[in-house]
Amino acid sequence: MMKKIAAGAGSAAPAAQGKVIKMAPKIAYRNLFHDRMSLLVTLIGIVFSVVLVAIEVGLYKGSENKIATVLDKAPADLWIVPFGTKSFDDPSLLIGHEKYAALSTPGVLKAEDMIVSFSAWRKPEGGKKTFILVGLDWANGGTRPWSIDEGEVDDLNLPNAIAVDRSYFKDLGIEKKGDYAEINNQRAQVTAVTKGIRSFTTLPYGFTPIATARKFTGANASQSTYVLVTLEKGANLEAVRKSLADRLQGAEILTHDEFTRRSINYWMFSTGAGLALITGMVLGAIVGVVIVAQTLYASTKDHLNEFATLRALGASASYIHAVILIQALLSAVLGYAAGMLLAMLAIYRLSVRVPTLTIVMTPKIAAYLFALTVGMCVFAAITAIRKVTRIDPAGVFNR
Amino acid sequence: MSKAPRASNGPRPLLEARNIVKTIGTGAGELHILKGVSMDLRPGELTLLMGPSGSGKTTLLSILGCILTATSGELHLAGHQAVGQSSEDLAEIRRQHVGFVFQSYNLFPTLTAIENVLVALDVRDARSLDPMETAAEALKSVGLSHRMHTYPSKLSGGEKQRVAIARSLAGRPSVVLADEPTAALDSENGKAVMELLAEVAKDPTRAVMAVTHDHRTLHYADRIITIEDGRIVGDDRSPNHKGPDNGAASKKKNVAA
Repeated sequence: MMKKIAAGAGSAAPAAQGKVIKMAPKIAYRNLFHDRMSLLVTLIGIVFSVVLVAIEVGLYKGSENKIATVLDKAPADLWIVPFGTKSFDDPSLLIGHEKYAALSTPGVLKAEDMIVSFSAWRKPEGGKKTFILVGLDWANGGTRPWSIDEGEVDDLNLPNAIAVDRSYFKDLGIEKKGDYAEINNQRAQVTAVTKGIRSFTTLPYGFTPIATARKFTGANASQSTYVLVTLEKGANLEAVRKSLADRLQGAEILTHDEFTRRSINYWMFSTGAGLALITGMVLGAIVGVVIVAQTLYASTKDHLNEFATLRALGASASYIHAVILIQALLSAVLGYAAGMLLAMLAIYRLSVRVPTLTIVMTPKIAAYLFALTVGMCVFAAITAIRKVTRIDPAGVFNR
Repeated sequence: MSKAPRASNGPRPLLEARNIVKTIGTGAGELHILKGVSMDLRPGELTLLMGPSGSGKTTLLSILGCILTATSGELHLAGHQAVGQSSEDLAEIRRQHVGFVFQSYNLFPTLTAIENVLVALDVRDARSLDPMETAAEALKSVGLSHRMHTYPSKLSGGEKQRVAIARSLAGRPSVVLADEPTAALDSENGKAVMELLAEVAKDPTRAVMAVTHDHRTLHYADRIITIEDGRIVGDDRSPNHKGPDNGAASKKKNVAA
């Protein structure tokens, strides 16, 4: 035994270049799983945080989608909107010459009228409901109604025909396609039914051809709420926008993205609805950070002697930080996996039980959530890292 | 880290300390723990550092091992000036040149014996053709090849200390410093550990120093340094030690038990 020591460890010369077994991940893994109760608490914290943030983000994104639901189906390079329009659902009428002014502007390929109007829906059995009437000009190549679940788009060309979403049947006091109601005191018939088109507010959308919409709202034949402008290929958007702005004094010229963002900002921030969701999101993240930070700190304290030993053995500060960060990352991965599984289950159950609730979860959001979870756990590791940074390796001689 | 000048004659000391002072506190609370300690450790020697409690043994060991910094003085370890270096530079010196054996073993309870040795290799970033084989060889050399995959909680005190010695040697340090290596062991295990350290010290490229209170360990020593009240009061070579120039390999052959 003795001779082997002298022979085996006799040379201080460095060994030949070869393999290195990385022990930091193993130390981190073993530290983490050493105290299963502590790990459980950490994971519960992360899972709680991930589920809460996932649902809040899903609700936020779902709300954004609802606010932009018509805008997303009506792509246009520029929108001519009445001056001071706060959002898509904030309708007033343009003067009426805007479409032709646009069509005569160099660089404009086509212009399409759209009417959006708060209207009164009188239910067949009595009672009223305000809804948002949307008049589309698909007969002239404009936006066509979408998500038709029952009936045909052409059925909307019948006199006083309208399409409503099935999810609003109860609110509108109707039961099926073909039912009659009154819109602004004019008889109307539901000739088509859409599926899944919901507004951000409690007001349903109803879709008709633009001529019918003008009739229901009393607008003249050239008036509209918005004019959607499509540019010629290669046209300079800013130049066309400036030209339109110069010609249309009572209107604003917005890009599609600007109008979408303005609508979202109005509903999400001016009304406070988005702030509530964002607050929930932030609180979820804070709860996660606090729980992970507390358990990581406790775990680091439990293993302080080992960290001091590592330091005494010559481990660099970055080596020790790596151990703690790997612990945090392992916690993040485990917590995220369990959290997302639960979140998806919760979102599915909620969407079945409350069909009017829109919670969006996409691979992109899931990826962002993973990044957030990792960031949260790494941030939580800071207190533990500060603790080991102050470690006195001389302490190993006193233990 | 600056290089120390090479000694003019004899085996070059692996560790040279000159006029090491360690003071803690300020004003009325100022405490002088080391009051100008000078010593060196030469290759192939097992040096015992002895002294009463509070004499400064552990502080001196910590400074010699680059764990603590001296208030003043000079310390050259394997050619590197250690006083005044940053904590990361000191860690680098420890990593490359110092092996520690602790009184309480300080093994990682969540790692097996071989993993504990692998940690020392990993910390040093020591590339080995086969780290597992290197670690296994280190454990084999301390007689623990049959306990490689055993967790510390299942090892006896003596076995734990042998794992700690294997760990300290795995990185091929120039200097091995042991703090009361037998204090937590019964006499049989204590004897085995001291025999092991004495064997380690036979390596002509390595110096070993152990802090001890245990007088049963005296006969393993090539040299005994006694410290009292922060000063070295004795530096005696074993009667049978032939001196650094006479070769380390034969030095302990006639040491009386």
